[in-house]
Amino acid sequence: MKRWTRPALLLALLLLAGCGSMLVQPGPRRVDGLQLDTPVSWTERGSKGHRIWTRDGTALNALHLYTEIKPGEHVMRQRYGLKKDEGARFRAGLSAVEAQELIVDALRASGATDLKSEGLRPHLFAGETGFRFELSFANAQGLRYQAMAAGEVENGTMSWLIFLAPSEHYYERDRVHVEAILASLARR
Amino acid sequence: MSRWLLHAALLGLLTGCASTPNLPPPAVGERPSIESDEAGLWAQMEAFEKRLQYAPDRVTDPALNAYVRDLTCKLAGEYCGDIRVYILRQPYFNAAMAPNGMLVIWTGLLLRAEDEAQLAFVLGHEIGHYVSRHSIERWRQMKSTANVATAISVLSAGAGAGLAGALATMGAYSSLYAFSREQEREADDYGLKRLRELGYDPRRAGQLWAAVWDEERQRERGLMSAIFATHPASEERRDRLLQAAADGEGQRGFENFQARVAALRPSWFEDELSRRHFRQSAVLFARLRALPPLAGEAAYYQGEMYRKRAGEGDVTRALEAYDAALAAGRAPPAVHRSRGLVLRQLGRAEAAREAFRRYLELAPEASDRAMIESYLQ
Repeated sequence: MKRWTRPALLLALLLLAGCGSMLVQPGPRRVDGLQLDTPVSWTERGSKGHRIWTRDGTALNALHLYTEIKPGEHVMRQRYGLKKDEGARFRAGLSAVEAQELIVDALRASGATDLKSEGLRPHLFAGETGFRFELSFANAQGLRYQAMAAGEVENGTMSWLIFLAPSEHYYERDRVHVEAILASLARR
Repeated sequence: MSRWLLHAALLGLLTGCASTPNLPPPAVGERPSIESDEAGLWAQMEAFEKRLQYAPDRVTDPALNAYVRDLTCKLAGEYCGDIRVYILRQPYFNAAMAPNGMLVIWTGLLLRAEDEAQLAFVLGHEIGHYVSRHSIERWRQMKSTANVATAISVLSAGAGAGLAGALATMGAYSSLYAFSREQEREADDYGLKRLRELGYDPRRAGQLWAAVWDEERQRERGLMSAIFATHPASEERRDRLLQAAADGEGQRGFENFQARVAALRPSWFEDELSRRHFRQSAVLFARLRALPPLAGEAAYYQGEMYRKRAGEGDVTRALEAYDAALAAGRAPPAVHRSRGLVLRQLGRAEAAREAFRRYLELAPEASDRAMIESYLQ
């Protein structure tokens, strides 16, 4: 039965996640070793290593922050029963091109359809040279989403974030706030 | 994702058990009487089919759809007008036929078929389910075992649904696997019969299942199989098909099939890679690489598989595969980017830079140009 639940669980984490939440007020904040500044308030869910911020519910806007993913760990910190050499797993020494592939594959496994990624480029992430790119995809019901992802591979671990929202209205509305957060990222 | 649950539920209803008496074939153009229990099943399937028409993973390429539809029509004969074909972009080997004539083909099947004879066998097999009305037998069996309510709940879940209901239905679904095998044999026989009647080589059916079985054997427990469980891949099934057609002969339709799928095949390779179930992909890519017209393309994706897997010795294997792809002259520009990545890992910095430069020469508008240029600095 597990094999059928896996995609649903992945998607749930991306778009429907949540159990227990707290309010994040505008201003500077520390998140799992990162310092950032948010211009707007969010609701936070998740736990250390994977925080999920949303303003209107994760199906409408979701900012996922993954920190210090270690070699062998799933890039979205999934813990289902994949074998160690299969699935979208981080490995040390991963290039930016391969980090992008890893994220794209994990999203596809979560149920994203008609997924396109583009604009992979160097990006200063928390003061380190990292990567950034944009994505678009559809969910199972055909609703189109846009996303931006950025991250860095440093000291044998990977930290990254992805912001996902429906293309219509929500992505553009909140993109500027996520850009501000991205620009403010620093190592604590 | 509910898409998965929807497909699972659908497939649970599309094949059947053999515990009810054989029904007569449907009349051409027949719809079940509104008073019949079958009418309810049709209504469910028609509602599902409406959603399927706008599914985001539906392949809408007109040429491919026309090809598969025409082949289906040839195989279906008098039932041609009763069957509608939908191709879904899913990297798994599967096809399914609903009682109302909705035939669903997944692109993982099109990637794995080598020629028209193999595709025709699978389509003929599904038409065999339709002609034998297996799904109504299944429907009645499910009603008798009180599983139908949960199955319907999962079908409804296709529009965005409840995980809990789906979990329950998957239990019912799994419990019905064992009943489907006799019907699968019956549908196999129908598929073989139609292959012979249309002049296709019936041995290709067993050879397809031999290849599918080779992949299935690599599957780790707990991973989604590349071969959907309603179509059990087994030694028994492979041997039965091979034996049944041992003295057959006929056309393969290799060139025609490969030409028809060539434009979309790279995207199916990409989907297969995205599964990151490397053991099965390794078997598949090695098989496709042995087919001369596909050798270059398959070698490139085999290299990609090794690079992504990144196990011991895989970097060297990837480089060999990329070089083979280039030698065959059928690799996309991205092969140079991939060569650059593995050459960097091998410590061959200048060769890596040369590969990256070649990539940018061949793909000047590449969306990752800025990143690749950073590797050149």
